[in-house]
Amino acid sequence: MLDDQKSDADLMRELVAGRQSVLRTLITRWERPLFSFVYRYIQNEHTAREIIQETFVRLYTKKERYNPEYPLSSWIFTIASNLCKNHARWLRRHPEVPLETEGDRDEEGNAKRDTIPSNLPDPSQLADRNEEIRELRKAIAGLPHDLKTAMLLHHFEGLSYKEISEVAGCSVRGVETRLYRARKLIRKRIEKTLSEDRLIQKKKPSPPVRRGLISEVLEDWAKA
Amino acid sequence: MNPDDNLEKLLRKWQPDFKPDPMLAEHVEDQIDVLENRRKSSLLASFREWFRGVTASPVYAGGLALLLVVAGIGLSEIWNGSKERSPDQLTSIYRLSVDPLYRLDASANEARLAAEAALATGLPLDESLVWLQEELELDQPQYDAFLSLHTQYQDSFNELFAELVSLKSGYQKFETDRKSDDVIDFMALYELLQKQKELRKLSEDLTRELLIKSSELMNADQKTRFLELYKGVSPSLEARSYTPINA
Repeated sequence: MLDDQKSDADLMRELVAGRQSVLRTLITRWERPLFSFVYRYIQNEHTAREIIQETFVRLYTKKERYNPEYPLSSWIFTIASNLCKNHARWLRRHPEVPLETEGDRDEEGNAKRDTIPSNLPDPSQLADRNEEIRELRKAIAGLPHDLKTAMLLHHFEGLSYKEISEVAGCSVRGVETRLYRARKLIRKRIEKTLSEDRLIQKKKPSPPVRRGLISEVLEDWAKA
Repeated sequence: MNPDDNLEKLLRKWQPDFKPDPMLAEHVEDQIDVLENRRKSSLLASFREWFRGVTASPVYAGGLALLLVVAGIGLSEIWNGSKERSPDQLTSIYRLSVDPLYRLDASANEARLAAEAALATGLPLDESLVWLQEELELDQPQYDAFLSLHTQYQDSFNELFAELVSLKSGYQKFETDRKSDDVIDFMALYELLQKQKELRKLSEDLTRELLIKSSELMNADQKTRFLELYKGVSPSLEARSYTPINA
């Protein structure tokens, strides 16, 4: 049987038995789901890819700890979510700052020089002009770890409540509660931001229509 | 429309672009190679350094033989079957697994520290959890969640313990240098103490978090017994940081 056709549990058994080449099959199989989860959690592509790499390294170095009676998804997402949590904790303790002074910014406040990679959205994110999606991302980014993990695994990775409970280390009932709380918080944050934005748009006076320079000159000539 | 439906719709719209990383497998394998080489060389180097340090002093050299006997007995006690272990031993093993500060305090001297470090990644945690399952009468779903929760935290605890040990060695080296040079680098000392404080706090917080999450899996009676059991073996942590909620 080809490696591609083998179950995760079989591949893990072979990995434990010393057949390192099956790691590549596992990487091909799990890179996309991991990216889907980690990218949405971290919201920075470079960091997400680093975390995915580390997840596979840990999957290999801790392979003996895997229990084939459980789906690999629970175990692999447990590793990834712990790494995401550690990264978030590290970021809180080591906030990243731009390598620049006040004078290094232009009139609009944009950096003139390169900065240390930060957790801010990358250009592909900035290109995303969908306001609602942007607000959704912000709302998810602001969720506590437990709620965020449950939310992302349920909505985007399609894990069952049982599998999520194994990742999160809580009961199935606990998963339901977390999902309920996460949805509530997201809705609240999105509604608040969008309504505030609309309010600001309403209050902001529309800019005066600027006539063309040629028309102005022609009018001045006519007056003269 | 139901507000949840709106949210579901919005969630479905968020589809980040994914391009497989063609170098991922190679990077992973490179990192694994680096880690394995480093592990092999650092284990050997630490043992050599430790052995040289111990045998350099006549007092330690004399005590080394005794220590090996004691360590041998201690290790065999730990590695023997659970039937031969007392509940106190199993509770201590559990405590060593979930509290890096306790593990550090238990390492009373350098030699014990090395023995503990060697055990850091191999403590028979599963066995003490099985014992706790029986002791607290956890049903299978409760135990599965309990086990998964503890597995999640193990890497962090082991990493924290390794950092605490290295910090302790750093402090000891600082002391040795200070005594021989008669000069104190206050900035280095400050940084060392700050880092130590930060790590101790992090360690306490993590242990506390795990205990709270574990107790949340239990019913009121199990929770009380679990906390009593933990308190019995570790009044210091209880006083130090753990304030049970809903206990």
